[in-house]
Amino acid sequence: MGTFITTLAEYLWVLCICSLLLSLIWPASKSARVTILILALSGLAQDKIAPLLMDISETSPELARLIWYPSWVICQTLTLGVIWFAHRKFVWAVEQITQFICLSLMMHSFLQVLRFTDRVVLGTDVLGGIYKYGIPAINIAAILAICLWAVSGAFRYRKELEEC
Amino acid sequence: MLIFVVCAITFSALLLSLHFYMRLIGSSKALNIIEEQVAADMQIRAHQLCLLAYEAQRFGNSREKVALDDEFQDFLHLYIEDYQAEVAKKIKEHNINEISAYGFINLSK
Repeated sequence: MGTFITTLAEYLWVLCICSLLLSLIWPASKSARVTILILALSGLAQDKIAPLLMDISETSPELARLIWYPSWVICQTLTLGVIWFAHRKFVWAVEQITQFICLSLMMHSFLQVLRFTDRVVLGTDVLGGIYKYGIPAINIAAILAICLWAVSGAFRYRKELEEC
Repeated sequence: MLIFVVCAITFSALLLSLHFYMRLIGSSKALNIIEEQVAADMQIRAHQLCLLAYEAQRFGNSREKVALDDEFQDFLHLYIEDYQAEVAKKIKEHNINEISAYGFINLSK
């Protein structure tokens, strides 16, 4: 189950972009579309940042350990900030899927800080397993919710068209 | 010293993300509550609107139907305008700064 979670996590952004494309065929709200787009871009950016941090860990493992968790917390904070700013700027009502995505980003940050405290601050190193599978599980939950939202929206739209 | 700085940055980032999250979700929930309150306050007018629509339907194609249809449309526009104005007023009263416009009403001024 653990291997399945980590393997699936690598293909999540493809699913996210596919769902976004699917949402273009039915009149989805801008709030949801833009939030999913921001999430996908943030995920791709994080995939680019990860190898850079890995390279640092080869030369200076101590420094890499110190900046690994804060980097992801900052990424999630920036993502949430951009989502909040877009909603404030264009006065969009916050959709349910947007609320779920923001909750997943928040949980992501919280888990990163928890692991940072466990490994770097306290040096106890007991949350390794929770971190290893917790982060991909949060991502999977968010992407599955996005897929369900896109598919159910498309079916609802098709039904409405048939009724007309 | 470096650990202290990194800790400060990490916890500040977490607090900042909590702040963004609460403002995003909080403003949406506050708006829902205000809309429900205003809709409940205007329930009598909403019922009058339904009755007027029902009356207009009963008259078939007569002149009375056209008059009632016009009356219904005027009443509906007034209802929507008053509803939006009341929600906008309450948004200002509750100092929900995230919302800068509601319907056709600009709240940023």
